[in-house]
Amino acid sequence: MSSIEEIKVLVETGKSKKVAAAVQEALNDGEKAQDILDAMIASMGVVGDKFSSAEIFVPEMLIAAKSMSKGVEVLKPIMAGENSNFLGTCIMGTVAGDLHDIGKNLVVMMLESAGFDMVDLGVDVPAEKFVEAIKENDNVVLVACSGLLTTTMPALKEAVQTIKTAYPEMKVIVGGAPVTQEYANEIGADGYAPDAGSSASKAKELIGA
Amino acid sequence: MAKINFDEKELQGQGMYAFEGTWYGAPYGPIEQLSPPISPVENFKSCLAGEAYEWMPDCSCDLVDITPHCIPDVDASDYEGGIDTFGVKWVALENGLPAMVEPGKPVLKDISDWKNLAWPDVASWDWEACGKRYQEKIGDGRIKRGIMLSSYFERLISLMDFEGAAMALVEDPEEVEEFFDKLTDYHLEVVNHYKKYFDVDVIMAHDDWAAQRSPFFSINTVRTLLVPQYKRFVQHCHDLGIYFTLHSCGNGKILAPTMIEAGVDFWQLQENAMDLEEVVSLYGDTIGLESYFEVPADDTEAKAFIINKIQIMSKAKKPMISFFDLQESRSFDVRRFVYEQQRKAALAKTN
Ligand code: B1M
Repeated sequence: MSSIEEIKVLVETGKSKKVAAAVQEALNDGEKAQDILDAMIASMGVVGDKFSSAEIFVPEMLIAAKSMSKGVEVLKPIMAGENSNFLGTCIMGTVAGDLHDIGKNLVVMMLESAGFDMVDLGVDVPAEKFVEAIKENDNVVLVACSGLLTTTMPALKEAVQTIKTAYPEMKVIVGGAPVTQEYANEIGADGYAPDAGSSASKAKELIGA
Repeated sequence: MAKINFDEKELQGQGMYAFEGTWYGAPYGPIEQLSPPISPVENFKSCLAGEAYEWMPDCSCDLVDITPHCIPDVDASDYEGGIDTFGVKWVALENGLPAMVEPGKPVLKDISDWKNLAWPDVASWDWEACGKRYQEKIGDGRIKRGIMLSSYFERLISLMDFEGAAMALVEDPEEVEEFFDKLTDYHLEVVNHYKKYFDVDVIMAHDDWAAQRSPFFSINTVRTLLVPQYKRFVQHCHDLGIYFTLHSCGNGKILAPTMIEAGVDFWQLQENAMDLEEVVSLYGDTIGLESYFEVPADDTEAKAFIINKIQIMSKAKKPMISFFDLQESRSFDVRRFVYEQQRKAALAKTN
């Protein structure tokens, strides 16, 4: 198996303790950092699809993400300055009043793997903060809002509407356990994804990538 | 099929049921005692045994969920928060919802540190006084169900945060297994005290295995790490003549076979996370199913809703149901309407 193939397997199976060494070894063997990164991104795509089709579950996805980030840590200093795989900036956060971030983190991870530059605002994010973040960051192409509580669904609506009022052309994607496509349409979001696996393809579709 | 024909006199009220303590930290809702042909306990036990019952057992009327304050978990997870059985801090929320574990400060960063946890001294809790108060108020007219909060995965979440707990299941299964094993010893001790001081009929363990759309983990993970523990836990209850209910929220449809393998008598499920009719048709013959429903605000809709849900649940061999109504006033008496439908469903039942 080539060293890149080996890295892909390690990411897909979540062997976080072994990935950094394998990435280093691949670099030593002369593999390009960009190719290694692309391979890991492809692996996370596979992981996302398996998650969407219930072949794997949250633990397996988390350990795959942990593994990828161990690999990225090795690549980062080498790739600093390179604008690799750049789809634009995506602002993401869990809406006001809501402290759940596990689903959001998985989505951040999938969007990052897909090539977005992620700005994670964390949890309990007031609507105006999304707008401020669009202002403060360069090349924002997408805003992603997550909500897990039924009681914070109005906050999701407020976030979407506040963003759309300030930036009518900005694409907004929403998701979270109580959210449905119908609700997303009702509150004026451009897109909805039921899970982290499908969030990446939906996000790309929204920005026409 | 139920044996006794319905008589209007059954709808006569006999005053309100008495309660002791709180229900998961909140006051118990008022429940009127009606005049059914047999006692709720007798009816319930027939259903639990898979035999004919006179009305579909109602968990809010025929059964008392006991969340006694002598168990530290109970106060910690109610509205004000506190320190739970394993020393974890729960904090109150401003939005009126129950407390939660203080986020971002997991007690265990690594599952292998579980051996350093201060293990609770169950016998030192004030079971006797607590049990006495419940026995005096509740008596033996209704089924008593002892609640055990945060059983296995939920306990792991409270100690490690969700992400840490989820990863530990696949990264350190041996350590998790050892920890769960010791947790089962603790559960058995709690059950013994519930039996001795409360004389409970049912134990209900809380353990969410699924999110709204899909399970948290695979069926293999459940089979390897949870089923062996539940087998021992359930068997111990059965040895003491206690039935076992598992409260497990989310869409855990594909995991239900493992509950059956573990010998669980009833699954208290979250109906709005699954297609209830499908769940009833898949598992209604092999495991008891319990579901709770919020009654719609509109009166006409409410009646149709109650009839429909009772009809669906009636297809299960061992159904239990409860309705909660958030409206302050109604054009009809919800308690009596539900009871009549539960009676009709039992009389119409052919299996
Ligand atoms: C932008 O585009 C997108 C696209 C897709 C998107 C997306 C955005 N965002 C998410 N997705 C989608 O992709 C993800 C991956 O596929 C998915 O994300 P999910 O988040 O759905 O799925 C995650 C991967 C796994 N799922 C989760 O992480 C949620 C799991 C459960 C157990 C849960 C947890 C872990 C927690 N909780 Co909370 N919690 C529960 C949950 C019960 C359950 N059985 O589900 C739920 C969600 N909690 C609830 C509640 C009420 C609460 N919680 C609270 C707190 C907590 C903890 C802090 C303890 C912890 C969160 C830790 C954390 N760091 O996030 C409190 C609220 C705090 C607050 N203000 O937010 C508290 C009030 C405490 C309490 N008393 O129960 C309930 C919500 C009920 C409701 N419908 O409103 C709940 C269903 C539990 C229950 N059975 O009552 C998709 O939804």
